[in-house]
Amino acid sequence: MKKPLRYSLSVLVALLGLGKNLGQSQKIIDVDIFDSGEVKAIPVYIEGFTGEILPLLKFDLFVQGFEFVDKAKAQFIIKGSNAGGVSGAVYDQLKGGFILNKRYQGGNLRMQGHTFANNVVESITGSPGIGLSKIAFRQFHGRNTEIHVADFDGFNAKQVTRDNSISAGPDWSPDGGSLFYYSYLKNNPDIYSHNIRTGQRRIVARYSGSNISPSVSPDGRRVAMVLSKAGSPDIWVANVNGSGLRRLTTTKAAESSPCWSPDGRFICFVSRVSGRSGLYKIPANGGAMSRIKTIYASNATEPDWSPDGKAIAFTTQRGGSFDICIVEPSGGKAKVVASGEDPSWALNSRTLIFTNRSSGKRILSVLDVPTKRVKTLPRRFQGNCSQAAWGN
Amino acid sequence: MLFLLAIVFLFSVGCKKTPKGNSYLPKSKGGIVGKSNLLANNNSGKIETQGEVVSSEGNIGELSGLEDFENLLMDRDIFATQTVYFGFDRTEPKPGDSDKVTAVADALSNSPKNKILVEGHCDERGTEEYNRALGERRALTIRDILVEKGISPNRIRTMTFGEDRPADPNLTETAYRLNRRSEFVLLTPKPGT
Repeated sequence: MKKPLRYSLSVLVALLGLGKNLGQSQKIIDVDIFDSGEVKAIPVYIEGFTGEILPLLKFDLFVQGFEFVDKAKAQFIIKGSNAGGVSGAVYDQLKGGFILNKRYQGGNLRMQGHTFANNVVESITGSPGIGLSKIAFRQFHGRNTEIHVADFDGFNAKQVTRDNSISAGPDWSPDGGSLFYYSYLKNNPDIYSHNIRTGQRRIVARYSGSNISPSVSPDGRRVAMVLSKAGSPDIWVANVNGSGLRRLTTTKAAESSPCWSPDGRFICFVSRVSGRSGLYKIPANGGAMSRIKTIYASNATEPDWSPDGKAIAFTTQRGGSFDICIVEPSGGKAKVVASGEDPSWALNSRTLIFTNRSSGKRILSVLDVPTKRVKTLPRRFQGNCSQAAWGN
Repeated sequence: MLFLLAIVFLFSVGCKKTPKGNSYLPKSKGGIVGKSNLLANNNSGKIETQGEVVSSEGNIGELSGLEDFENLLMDRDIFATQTVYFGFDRTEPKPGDSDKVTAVADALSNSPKNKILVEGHCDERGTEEYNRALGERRALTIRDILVEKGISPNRIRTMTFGEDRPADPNLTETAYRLNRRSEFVLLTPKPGT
């Protein structure tokens, strides 16, 4: 294997500046997102890339815990080219050696760039990268809203519904082949499953009242949702084709926003049963609901359980402003991680996408939870967007 | 197209909303209700990533009362002054508004063939899905009051719009007050049916 890159560097300088990050490479870094101390971004220097690939790599790496610094202060140097396809290498300035050197073919240039970003993340942290993941979201078209999908950085956006109605609440099937959402297409908020390869749609729930907020189970076989057919908005579960419908909550108060624990055993949701909104969980096969305390965070709504099972992200509201919080699934002290609402976890259980409407518009942003750094999507959409759901 | 008209109509009704107490002469302006289709069904055109809706093998519709509300004429004007308002994050109507529900119940009692659609709306100071459920809870609370007053639940349909259809799109306290509401839409049989 040839070594296309050569660096003259001072390992001593790097050691002095970056002693804290020593030993991070080549093993899985177990980042504790509840760590009360500051989690430092991994300092890297990037060179050689141009055009759309440079900002692509910087965005992908930024939202997965990297920061861009002077060459002398960098722990890793990322060098490569996107002339005639992406190629790149990662040099570890502490250990003095290459930990990645790859050339990419096929797909398109952006896919090659995202794949290289994934390989950089994997080679440095041991965690899988999220560069090739997709998002589904709700986009406003005048007074109507439609479901769109895009790469997670907002590129390659595609409109999925054209109903000239209110479509909202998208969620992905785990295989990425279907979207579940609700639409007022038939003049009632009804839940649909939508095969995004064939375009075929099926009605999952169309009963009197609300059929809203679908959430697909981690095994892709069941859907949790909010139906009001029994006289109050309750949590219900059914098979993804709508059969086997079962009511889980029986409160008179409104429930909303169900989501699944990654093992599929529990559903976390919002209830107003205490008079104010709060987080609860209930066994997915039925049973008693129990409170998930969110100390310091009132009016909790919109929970999303992290894929590794270690955290629930949610929205807290005070007056008209919203913050993103995380809490351990057993309940406890909630921690504010950003200003915004409606968080959705990426598969790496560290990056969140969420909506920010502080500017008067609804804009999608991405948050790296451990370092609490936020970036708006580099490709902005026309009109307001909200309810982003991160696919696998 | 029909839907655009419906939007313009909804919007103009929203803007015309007069403070309670002002008399507003009801005039009939019913929209025609298609089969399971109160506003529009625009699924006929060619759409790249979207095909036809097919029904599932599940028990769809079995328990649904939606079919009881098909093929009805909608009249949004007749109860325009009976719109009920709510406090912030509240699900019970403001105390002064219970007379309005009584008026609607009386009108329904006097015309047993008519039905009613109760809409639930919210201001935008809440998260979207929470507001969707809150709007439904508001509409259902009004439904419960109508039932208490002797109206059969089979004649009442509820629909939430969350924060998607504000009566006043401004971000002011006045607008929020007008947006936290339940509107009544009279549903009448088509002539000849």
